[in-house]
Formats: sequence, structure tokens, C-alpha cells
Amino acid sequence: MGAIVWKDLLSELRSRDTVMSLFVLGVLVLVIFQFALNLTPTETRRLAPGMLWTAIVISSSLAIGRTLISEREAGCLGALVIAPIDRGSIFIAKLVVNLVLLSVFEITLLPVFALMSDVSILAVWPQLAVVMFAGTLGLAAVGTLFALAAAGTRARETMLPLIALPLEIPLVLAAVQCTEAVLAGASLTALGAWANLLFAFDALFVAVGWLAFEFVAVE
Amino acid sequence: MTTSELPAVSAAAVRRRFGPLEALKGVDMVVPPGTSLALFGSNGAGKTTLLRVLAGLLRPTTGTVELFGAPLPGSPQLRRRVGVVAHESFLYPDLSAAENLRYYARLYGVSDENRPSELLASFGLEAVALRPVRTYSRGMLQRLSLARAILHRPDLLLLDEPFAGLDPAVSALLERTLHALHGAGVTIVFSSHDLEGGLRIAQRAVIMYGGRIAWDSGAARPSLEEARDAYERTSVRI
Repeated sequence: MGAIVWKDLLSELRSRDTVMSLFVLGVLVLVIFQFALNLTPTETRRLAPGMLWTAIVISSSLAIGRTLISEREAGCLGALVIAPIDRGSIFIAKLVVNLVLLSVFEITLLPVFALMSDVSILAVWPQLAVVMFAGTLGLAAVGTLFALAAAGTRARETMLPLIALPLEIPLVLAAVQCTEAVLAGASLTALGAWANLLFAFDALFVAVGWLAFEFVAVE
Repeated sequence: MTTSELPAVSAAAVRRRFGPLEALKGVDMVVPPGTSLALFGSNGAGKTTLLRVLAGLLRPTTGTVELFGAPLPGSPQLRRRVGVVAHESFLYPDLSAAENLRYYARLYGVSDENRPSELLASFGLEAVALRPVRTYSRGMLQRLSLARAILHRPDLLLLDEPFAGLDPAVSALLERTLHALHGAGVTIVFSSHDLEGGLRIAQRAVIMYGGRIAWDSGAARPSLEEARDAYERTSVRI
């Protein structure tokens, strides 16, 4: 598993394709929101969590499949399938890579978001980090699982958002609600049902991905 | 039957369908360990599909495949005994040859740290080992693909058209390598369009036509004339 993570991160370090496109897309979505809606500062702060997660979801849905689609484009997916490793661990390795890439993207996007939305994130960063991690884990799990299915289709990059986005709706709702509460100063224990939904979604899709990857991987 | 006597490959009534197209129509084949077998046949005969099924890259629609007595897809231990050279190089274009081999060495649990550099040297790739693979020629890619496939010292080597598009020097190197591997007891199954070249390596020839095995030379190495005659009888049915 470590070998796959090392190889993917090394490739990304060389090209910086995924993180760069994620960042540019994320910033563009935030900018479009600002100018298209012509928000007052108060409205901006109220809508900030939704804007942040919309930027993350749209960007990630377009870029997250790269780790598996690039394997197929390079003709290397087969090598992973026949490698003497548990196929579930391929999913976990790709999930870790996507999680790292999305986390780097979010770390670079959050200061831009804070500046544009006039939201203070420094005071609440530990709680915000937990919510962001949980939301990102769910997005990465769904994206990784369905990227493999999408990689086998002709319209690879457009197919993944079509499959993944509907499934991500509960996750995004929960992440937005938790982020809103955290930015308002709530503690993690006060997040209630939305946090439960967030963590349950993560557990479900990590488990499904790990178990189902075997069947999705071989044609 | 001891483990070493079990067939390296055993395929029974293997069929594989791609939508309406049936690429394999009931293939039965037993390959004893240590055999070098060439699969011949015209385009669309089913050679690539059969090799991909044997490699575990494709699931058969029906039928069973066993490698060394264990059914596919098999355990990681079984997959470690197999090396594959497919149409795709299985190499990452942004990584260098050395990085590609180091990656596969880790993936296959190769403990000998010198093995990648030994192979790069024996395949004449030492001088370009640090160059990204995307800058390689077809011959260099094929040499590196073979190095990758034998990195973990497999007992069974499956090669799909390994000589396609190679210049005579690289073909000769590949031929010498396959001879050496066969001499070391590795079971080799490869596909080829070139009867003469294929029979220089293989001790057994199988001709496929229309998704079936149309002719099998059996254990004895066929002469070129025999194979050519069989190829014309089975494959050229215009």
C-alpha cells in the first residue's frame, strides 16, 4: 500500500496537476459566488459554509478521479489488479492519496475563503479541521470508489461527477451544517445529528469501497 | 500429485464474452510447469483475451482457470508467481525506469535491493535509468516491461506479442532472455504472429482460430513446416 501512495504522490509532486487544478477551480467558484450573488458582508458570512463546500465538492469531483483515471490512461490499472496485494488495500492507498491531495487543496483554499468571506477561522481551527477532515474523507471515499467505475467508461471525467454527486448530497448537507456551527463557535460535542451523519457516511463508504473494490477492479 | 507436478496453467471450457461478441468459445488447455508455449493465430483469434484471462486481468464469462492448482483470481501468494507483459507497458510515464522498478519491487515484496539495478544493467538500460519513461523508444519500453515482469522471479511468465515492433537487436535480446528463463524452469506462454521467431523459443505451439484452439502440437516441438501447414489449414479460411 505504501508503494502506491509513494508512487502517486511522487507523480503529483512532479506534475502538480491535481492540486493546481483543484486550487484554481476552488478559487474560481468562490469568486463566482461573490460576484454573481452580489452579497452584503452579512449575507456572505451566513452563506460562507455553503460556498466553501460547494467550491470543494465541485473542484474535487472534477479532479479526484485523476489518481485512478491516470492509472488507466497509462495502462497501469491492470498491473495493480494482478499485483500480489489485497485489492481492498489498493482502494485504501488511493483513498489516502486523494485525502492528502484534497487536504493540501483545502489548506491553500481556506485562507482565500476566510479573506473573501470575512470569516475568522483561526479561533476555531481545531474544530474546523475535524469537520473538514470528516467531510473530505467522505468525498474522497465516494470519489475513489466510483472513479474506478468511471475510468472504464468512455466519458470518464464527466461520468464521475454524474455518479458521485447525487451520493454526496447527505455528506455535503452534514458538512455545511457542521461547518456553520463550528464557525459560529460551537464545540464538536454540540454538533449532534449532523456530525453523526458525517461520520456514519465516512464509515459506510470507506467500508463499502474497501469491500467492493475487488469486484469493481477486474473486468 | 505434488505441488511441482501441478500444471502451471489449466483452463477448462473458458468462454469470454464482450457484449454480443464471444472472444473465447470454450478453451481447454493444460500447460505443464517448465513448458514454453507459443500461441499463434490471426488477429481476433482470441490470443490476447486468453492471455488476459490467464493473467487475471479479465474474468472468464464461464469456465475455470487454475494456475499451479489454485483457481483464479487467487491469493496474493499465487499472483506473486506470475509475471505479465501485456499490450500496455504497465509503466508510469512520469517516473524513471529506476523508480518504476523500485515501485514494482515494493509492490511485489522483492527484498533484494540490487535486483532493479541488476535488471536495468542486463537489459542495457543503465545509462537511461534516470530518464522519465515517457521519453523511451518502443524497444526500450519493451525491455523495461520484461524487466518489470521478471523482477520478482515469477514461475509463470505470460507475454502478449512481446516481439511486436522491435528491431532485430532488441528481438534477439528478448529471445536470449526468454531462453534463459525457460532454461531456469520458468513456464512461458506467449502470443506471436511470427511462426519462425515463435518456434525458436517455444517447445509447444498452439494455434487459435475464432476463439478456439484449432491446433495443438502437443509436447513435441513441431517443425516450422508442420506449424506453417497447420496455420494455413486452421487460420486461413477465407
